[in-house]
Amino acid sequence: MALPKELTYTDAMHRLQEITSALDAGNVQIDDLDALLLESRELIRFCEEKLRSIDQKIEGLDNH
Amino acid sequence: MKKYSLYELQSYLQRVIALNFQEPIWVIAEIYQLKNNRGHSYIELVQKNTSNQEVCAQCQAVIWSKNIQKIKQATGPVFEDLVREGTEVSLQVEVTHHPIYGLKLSVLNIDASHTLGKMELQRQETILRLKKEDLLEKNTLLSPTPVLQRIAIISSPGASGYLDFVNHLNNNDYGYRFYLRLYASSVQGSQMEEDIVSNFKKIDRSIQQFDCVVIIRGGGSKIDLAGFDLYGIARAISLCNLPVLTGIGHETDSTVADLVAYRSFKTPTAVANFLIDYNANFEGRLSILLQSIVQNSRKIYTRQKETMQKLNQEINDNIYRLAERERNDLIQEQNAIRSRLKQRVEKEFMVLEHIGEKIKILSPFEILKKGYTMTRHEGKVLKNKGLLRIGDAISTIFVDGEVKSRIEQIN
Repeated sequence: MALPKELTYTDAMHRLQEITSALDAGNVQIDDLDALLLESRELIRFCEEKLRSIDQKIEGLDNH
Repeated sequence: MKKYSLYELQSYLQRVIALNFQEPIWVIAEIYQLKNNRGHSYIELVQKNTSNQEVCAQCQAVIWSKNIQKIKQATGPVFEDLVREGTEVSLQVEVTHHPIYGLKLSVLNIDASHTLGKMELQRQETILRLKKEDLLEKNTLLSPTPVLQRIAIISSPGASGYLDFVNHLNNNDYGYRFYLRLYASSVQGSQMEEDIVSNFKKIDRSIQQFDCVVIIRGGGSKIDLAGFDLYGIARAISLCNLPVLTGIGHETDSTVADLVAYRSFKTPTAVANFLIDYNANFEGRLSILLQSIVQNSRKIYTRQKETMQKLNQEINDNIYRLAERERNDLIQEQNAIRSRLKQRVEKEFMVLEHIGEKIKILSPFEILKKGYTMTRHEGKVLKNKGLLRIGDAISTIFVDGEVKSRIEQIN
């Protein structure tokens, strides 16, 4: 599943919280589960990459 | 009363003269006019009144050619200077009276020492007068410009001394250029005083164009130079506002003109040499000054360079210290930011992990994996039995598939 190009970290987190709430409420159709879990994984990966990139840049601060 | 015929009168006068002037006598007079004819010199002698310079006595004289030779032998080379218009002379004459030609003085001898002595006397009188009028040293006290290059020359254009002077100046070893302007003037005879004084007036009107005045003459005997003892010329030199240099060609005594001039030289060439040396001396002083300027400039330059280097070092040190302090501050700021960012990122990681875990836990597949099943009726998940009736079709979802069944009993 492809994430929107203009996706921000904040948007991604917001979407993850929406998914969690929906799962919490138990009103997710089984048929939709696959897609929802895939989207969650993509969003988590996206957020992790963002954080790792920031982390690398923080480390890079030493070199300036 | 007895009446004489003209001849008787003239014969009588002839006898009287002959009787009273049996021997030659000495007469002092000024040569007013001179004419040479067939080897004889015919002279008009005059005496002038000392108070108003008017002629008070006049008589004709002659030097017969035979006497000219004798007198020349006695006087030597000054003869030509003595026997000329305007000279006061002491003459030994034979006084005769001829019935036709009248009174005649035949010159037998000339006393050269009288003329020369008279000139010296006049010379001394002129010097005294100049001294009284405070004109003797006036020109000598002037301060010439550092370079004497623009020269007003008073001379006779054809005089050999003038040509020598110009050639010598223009062919100097240093290659100096001189700007010369000739003020043509007679430098001997009765006209010279008027000429020279008038030229000084002309020069005075163009004084800005010149550095000095040079009076040049080719040389001559003592009597020739007598004009340069005249008061008018000496006064003009004294009052000239430019230094006056003389080169009027004499070997021994100085003229009054020499005495009052800024500097006097024996020959025109010597004047030219003085001018060349004077300018060369200035050039020499310039070279020394230039050298001194160069040396001092080098010293100043070195000192300034050292000061600049010192200042530069101080500025660099200060900048380095300042930069170091700023750098430390920046590093501290950077560390603070990094630390906070790290904390934030770590927190976000934790949040993300938590969300991931939660999604995992909440996922129905995870529950089904544990052996639980999910029952659906008419597409909806059943959370209780409440709506079910006997005979309803339901589907049971396992982790690995779905089983469809009908309700037989509801407890």
